[in-house]
Amino acid sequence: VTFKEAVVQFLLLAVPIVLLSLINKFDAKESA
Amino acid sequence: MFAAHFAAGLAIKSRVPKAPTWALLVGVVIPDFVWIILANRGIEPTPLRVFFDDWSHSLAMVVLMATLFSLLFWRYGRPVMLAVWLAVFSHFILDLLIHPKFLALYPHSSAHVGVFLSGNLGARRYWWAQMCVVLILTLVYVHGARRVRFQPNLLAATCVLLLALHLVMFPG
Repeated sequence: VTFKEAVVQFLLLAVPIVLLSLINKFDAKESA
Repeated sequence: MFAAHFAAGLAIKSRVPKAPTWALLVGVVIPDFVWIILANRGIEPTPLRVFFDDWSHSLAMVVLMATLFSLLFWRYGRPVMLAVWLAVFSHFILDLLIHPKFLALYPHSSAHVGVFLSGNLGARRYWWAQMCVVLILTLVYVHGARRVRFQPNLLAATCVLLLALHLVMFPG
């Protein structure tokens, strides 16, 4: 795995983490 | 597996809402983050003939990573620590189903465990098998998120994003 491939692989993991974390901000306070 | 790991993290989130989402989502792919570094350094070669990922994906190493990472969340209490531990460990469980090579029990172990080899399944079947896992875990997430009254539009956006993440991996 070259450095460029490693960066792409890293972004493939990091971008979904950021997006899904921003969307899913619910916590126990939203519980009934 | 790719999208399935994120779906697993969100399924756990829906059951333990107090757990920070980012921690669960980072947790589910920690072995892959480690793999990226080790593969780049040449410690874990990627060609199938010499494929080796014992340091990032073996049972003992995933348990170690799960334990160390979950310890960072001791202030959140035991349920959150357990959720984070499970998130990291879920990586091993999912890769146990299908992976390029069966998973070692510990680095350089002669004993390996697994169900299917992705190479034997073929790219399309591998993709569809993953799709089944993504769908099941997404359903678990939806069920849990609805129970805590998570906003339906954000719930739908999450499902679309998860499916999109899997769709972009369609072979060919």
